[in-house]
Amino acid sequence: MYRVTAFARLITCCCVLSLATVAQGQTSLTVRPIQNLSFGFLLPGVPSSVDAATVTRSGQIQVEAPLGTNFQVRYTLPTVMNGPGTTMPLTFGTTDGGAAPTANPASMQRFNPATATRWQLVTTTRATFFLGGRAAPRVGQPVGGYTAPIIVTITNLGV
Amino acid sequence: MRTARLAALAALLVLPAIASAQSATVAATATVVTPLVVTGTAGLAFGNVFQGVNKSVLFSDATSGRFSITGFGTSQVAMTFTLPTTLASGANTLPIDTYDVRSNGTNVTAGATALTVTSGVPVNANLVTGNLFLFVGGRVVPAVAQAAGAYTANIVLAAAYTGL
Repeated sequence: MYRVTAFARLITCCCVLSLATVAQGQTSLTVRPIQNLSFGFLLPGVPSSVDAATVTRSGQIQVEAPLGTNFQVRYTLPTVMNGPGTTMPLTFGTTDGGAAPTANPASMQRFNPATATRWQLVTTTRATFFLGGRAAPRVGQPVGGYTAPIIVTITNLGV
Repeated sequence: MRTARLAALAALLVLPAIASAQSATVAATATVVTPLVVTGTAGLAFGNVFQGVNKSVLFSDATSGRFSITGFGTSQVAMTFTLPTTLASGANTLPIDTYDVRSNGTNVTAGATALTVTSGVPVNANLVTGNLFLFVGGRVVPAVAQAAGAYTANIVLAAAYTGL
């Protein structure tokens, strides 16, 4: 009886602690995909890069949360794009990631998308993350459309 | 001992609430295309012209200028024509004041579409199953005292994918 009661009390206590953490330290956070990383037309044997600051082509996601929210951004980056029965190499450089408090990359801070990055919403309730990259079609690369998923995981670290 | 276990359990219950994760997915996309090939297949030939008598070659005439472009599917290409304003014969020049450029997905003039072409300014058109054929007409304006001789100039067509 004592054991059960003590356990029940502790569970209740844990629930209270959990709820308190959510209420005081963690905020709601929304992640939205905005735009694919688009290399457009490529010729066989001719590599092509998209800079993170290229608004019309860079991959973009937007994170929205209350001011002061801290979060971690982690990309799962593919190494190839899949096409008609074959693949095409895809690489990312150490400055291919960018983060800005607005949708304008002019003020973005560059980062290495291969490593997790922390960000805090200081001046706005939104942040846009930009991603560039480099596609390298081989000589003789088959004609057609190629694609690969880029997964962005946002971990809410609270206020 | 019991307290320690319970404390550990409490920690496990609390920690998930501190850091929660969510994800979004975007795609990397590309389209590999065949290189564009631009070929000048026939010159715009005015033949013999007479002093003071304008002469036109229609786009549909057998002596009209011809280009072909081959490339990827139904993609859009930006075409930039360099259209000379004179033909030259040594130091002498012969004005050419009008061009009439038409395009078609097949190599026939019937049904060809008129293009508004300005020298040096790109104009867009879509390939039709990988092909586009261009027909160039024009008019020369010989002066009354036009010097006799063979006159020539280059009409240049450059093409590039627009990415659409």
